[in-house]
Amino acid sequence: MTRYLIIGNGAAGVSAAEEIGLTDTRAEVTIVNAEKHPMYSRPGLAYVVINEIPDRQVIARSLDWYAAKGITLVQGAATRLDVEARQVELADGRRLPYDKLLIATGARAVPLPNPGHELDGVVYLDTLDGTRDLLRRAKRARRAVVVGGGITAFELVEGLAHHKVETHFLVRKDTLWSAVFNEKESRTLAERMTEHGVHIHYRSEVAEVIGDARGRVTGVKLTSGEVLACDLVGAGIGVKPQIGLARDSALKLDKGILVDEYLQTIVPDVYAAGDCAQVWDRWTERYTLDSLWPSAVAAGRIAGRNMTARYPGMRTAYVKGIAFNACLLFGLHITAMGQLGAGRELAEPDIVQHISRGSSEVMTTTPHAYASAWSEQGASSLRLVLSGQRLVGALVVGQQTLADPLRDLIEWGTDLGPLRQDLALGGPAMTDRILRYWKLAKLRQSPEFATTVHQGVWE
Amino acid sequence: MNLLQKLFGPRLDPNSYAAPSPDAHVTPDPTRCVQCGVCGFNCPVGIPVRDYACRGRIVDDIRCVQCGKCVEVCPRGTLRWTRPAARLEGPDPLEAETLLAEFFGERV
Repeated sequence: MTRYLIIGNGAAGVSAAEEIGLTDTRAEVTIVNAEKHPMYSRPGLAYVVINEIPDRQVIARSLDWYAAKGITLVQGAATRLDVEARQVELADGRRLPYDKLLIATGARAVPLPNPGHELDGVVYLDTLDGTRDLLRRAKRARRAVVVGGGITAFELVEGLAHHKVETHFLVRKDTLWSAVFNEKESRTLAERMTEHGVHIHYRSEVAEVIGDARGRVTGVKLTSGEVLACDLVGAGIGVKPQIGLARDSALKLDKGILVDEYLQTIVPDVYAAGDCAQVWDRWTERYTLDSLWPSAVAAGRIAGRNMTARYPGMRTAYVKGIAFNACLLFGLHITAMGQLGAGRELAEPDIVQHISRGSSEVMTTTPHAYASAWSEQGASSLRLVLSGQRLVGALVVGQQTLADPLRDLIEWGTDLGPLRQDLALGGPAMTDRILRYWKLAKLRQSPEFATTVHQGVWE
Repeated sequence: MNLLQKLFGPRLDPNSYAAPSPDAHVTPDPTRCVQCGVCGFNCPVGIPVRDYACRGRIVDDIRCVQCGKCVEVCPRGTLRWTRPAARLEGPDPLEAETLLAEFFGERV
């Protein structure tokens, strides 16, 4: 019997465990869980904060599920990896042996770097317990300051505003999430926020969090010297892979744990997947970090399958999908996919220090020789980023008809040559043409196309 | 949910996200699903929609009343209605010819 040890009870870890159970029926699977809850949906926490669902609902696998699958759930924090002895040491001194190991520790919110970050009242939207704490505090709080730039920061703002807390949102640049949004997209979301009573402060940065004698937050001091009184500070400045476990081991680390196309680290039988793994990205041609749920699920499955492989030829390569995230903020649907940096990254290299949850390093990169196309109608907008004649990124705000077709066009690498004029003109007419062109591209994907339809025209 | 709805099932609003036809099934796009559970929480008959969605399975639960509540509430647009016929359908040669002519007209 093979002993499989999985560190991390999130999307990647649980998907791997499921996959191992499918392939190796005699597997002995152990999951080390740093939190006391069974697997829950981290993105779902945003919907707990806005009272869309009760907190228990985000739990995606019950304890009974683990029992039924024969998975042992061990609570504890893994602190050290001993590659020679094939053991993982937990904080309480226990040592867990393994034959195959998966590191799926994920990422954690980056703590505020400013003085006063340890004060009572600085909150993060990162864990289920943290979210419960945040909800309790939001009921009493009157004024809150939110710091950050990505989706998590927006979700914090929305959550606090939903609880009728006077929310002040501090943005470093002139626009919201300047690494991804353009001016118009930022304005659309900012308008929604303002309608919900949020006060946005552009070009504002926290210098210090101020507290009272009892260690509770009373306000924040900005770099401009201005002081904003508040009883809650929400931070969503990004996430960082949790790789402390691998730090003193033989594993190769960069920003995350570097893995090959089979998601194996440089040490045999040790794999890594999810937010903590740095994986080859075929679009940017770099090893990149992702913080996306579906990517973690897909990688976890492949890692699990490869861990059960009896010889190397049985392994499956992991091909990273398009960085893709659909979200709902203040009632506005936003879908971001692919490379969206479009030039701003080059001008300001320090713009992205940490990726935010629901984002990827791919999203903030600028493709080579890029061009963009734009269409807007009311609150809806559509931005396409092209590299040569191929689509490499798209951001769809509001009306979502084109979200899936655009994703397909990126995935298939379809030549958009015939749409050149439409893309240059932009506007609502472009939308319809893209949709029709996607239909044709889709037809071409079906095996019947070659036999039933005029041949040789496409290429 | 009130008692009437419990007894007689959810009210069907013609403008809602209800099934377009009686043979349609809620179909998930697993690459959009984040397993948040908003769908299952809102299901009036208690179908664990999330369990279907995260495995990419069609929600073919016998209890489904086709109200479309899950399709409506999903924050990530994971769920939509599909018909079995459309799932099996191959390309329509006529439509393909029209589209080819539209985009590659000069070369046909």
